[in-house]
Amino acid sequence: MWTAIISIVISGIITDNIIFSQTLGICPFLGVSKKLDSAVGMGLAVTFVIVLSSVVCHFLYMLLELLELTYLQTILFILIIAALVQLLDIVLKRVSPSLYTSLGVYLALITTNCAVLGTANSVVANGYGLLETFIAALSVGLGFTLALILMAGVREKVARSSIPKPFHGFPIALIIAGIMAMAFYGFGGLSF
Amino acid sequence: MKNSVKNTLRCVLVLSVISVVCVALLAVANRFLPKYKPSLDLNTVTLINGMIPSGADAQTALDEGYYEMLALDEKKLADFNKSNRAEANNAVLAVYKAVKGDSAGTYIVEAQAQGYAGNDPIVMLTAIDESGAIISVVTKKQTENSPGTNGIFEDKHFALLVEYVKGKTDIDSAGISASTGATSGYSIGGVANAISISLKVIPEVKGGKL
Amino acid sequence: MNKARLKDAALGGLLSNPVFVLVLGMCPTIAQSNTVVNAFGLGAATAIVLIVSNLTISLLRKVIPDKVRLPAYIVIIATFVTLVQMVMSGLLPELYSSISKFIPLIVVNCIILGRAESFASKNDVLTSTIDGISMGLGFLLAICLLGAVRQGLGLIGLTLFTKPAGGFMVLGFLMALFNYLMKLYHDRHKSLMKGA
Repeated sequence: MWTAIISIVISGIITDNIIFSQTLGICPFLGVSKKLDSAVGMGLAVTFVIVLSSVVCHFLYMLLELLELTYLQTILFILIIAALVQLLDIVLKRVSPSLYTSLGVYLALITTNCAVLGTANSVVANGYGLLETFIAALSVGLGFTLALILMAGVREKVARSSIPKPFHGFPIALIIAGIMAMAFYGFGGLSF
Repeated sequence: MKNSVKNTLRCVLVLSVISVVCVALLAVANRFLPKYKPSLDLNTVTLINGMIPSGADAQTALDEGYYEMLALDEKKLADFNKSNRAEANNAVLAVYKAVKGDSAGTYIVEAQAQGYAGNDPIVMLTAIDESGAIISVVTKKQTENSPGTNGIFEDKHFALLVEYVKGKTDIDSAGISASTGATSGYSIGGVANAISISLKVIPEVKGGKL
Repeated sequence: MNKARLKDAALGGLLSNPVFVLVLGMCPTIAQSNTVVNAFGLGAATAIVLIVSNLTISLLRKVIPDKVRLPAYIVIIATFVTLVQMVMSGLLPELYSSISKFIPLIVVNCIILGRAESFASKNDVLTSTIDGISMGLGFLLAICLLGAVRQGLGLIGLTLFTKPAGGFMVLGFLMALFNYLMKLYHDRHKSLMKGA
């Protein structure tokens, strides 16, 4: 039981890192990793949505399987995610305006973050139970946050160095991401 | 005021019509589009023939129906796979049986399990005799020793694996590691899981439970 | 019919290439460009969804109220994605099994929702369809180019490039190359204008 959970956590955060190994969620990864504080904000917002939507989709899929309507999976999952993001937007605005001002800008971007739908799809495909789903989604979100923070740290430095003009912006960010992904390979041999 | 009610009604109406049309379209497509079923192709027959020679060449064996794919209940197989899931996407894909030739009576299970290589599971064929012991194994698809993961689980390890499994009714990853010299826990676990689930499915098939 | 707009739409796939210029749809681009076949499969599936959804959304642009346009677009796009998924898994099982994880994710490919929102919701059916074809082909071309480079590098022994790390790097270098070529093109354009 515990080894299974530890292996889910380690693979979610490090060995199967959503950015460096599964290459999901690249758009926000490139877009919001220029500054450290916005990277942390985006990472936490995404983690929250991933956990919430994976758990809801877990129950929804059980219902779909019961009704033999699994072909509606894509359409319903994306609607659930969009609705959750909207709901979160409204709730945060009312309940915690300060948190809203720090996370609000990223919320709108999260619906089209493929890390969210990708995680919901994979926990369902793996047939995880509720606890496993929760832990897997949480570790994927933390892995995403980790990648974003690492990237922001490097990019803040790169912004101050001179690089050839055609490489400005996204190209250099992609090459840095490639080098980081190589470093993450080193964890590939980890096993229990 | 009246206008805003009308607007809201229109929003709800349009959205519902679009949803209903879309769902209806999908339901029709789901009903009438052909669904994929794993089949016994020349590649598979060649691999099986390599494990348990039937006395004929692969093309003849395929044409004359030396092997047949057992018709398993999709729903029950899915349930079996779900309850025997040690790792993500481990599954029995198909079960074949040799019905003619020198090895008639042997079952061959095609199963996949997650190894080292990202999202690409290892697909193994396991030949199991009537007493439930393994005759041989062969990999149908694996990217463990593919470019970029050199040395993780190489062809030489797979060759030694065939020696190790012969006659066994139960295998474990420690045994695979010791007999093949492979060191990657992921690859070894994947191979062990694919073979184990193949061994488990045979009693169910024989008992007519699938 | 506005001819200049039509021409812009037709050239959009190249001059504002979704991958190299707009930097949209990065995830499938990197994940599924490890071989040319995978790249073509996913690129074609995305292009088909893009064309059909552009066409449909443009047709319905006057019917769908502004307030509920996003959910409506999402439902339409998700339906086409599921249809493509069903057809592919039935007819091309081999290809489907290697890219199955990324087919449902076409729904959240920013190219499709982005074109629906910024183009198809404002333009007539013909222009929107042409925009869909042009953008779809632009995406297909970009992902296939990436696939060819990565598989080529893998074949001569630089096997790292078939893995995600290599995908990031090859895309970075190709993007820089594209930026450089575009700059040459624009400079030339400017000097021609001056000359005239």
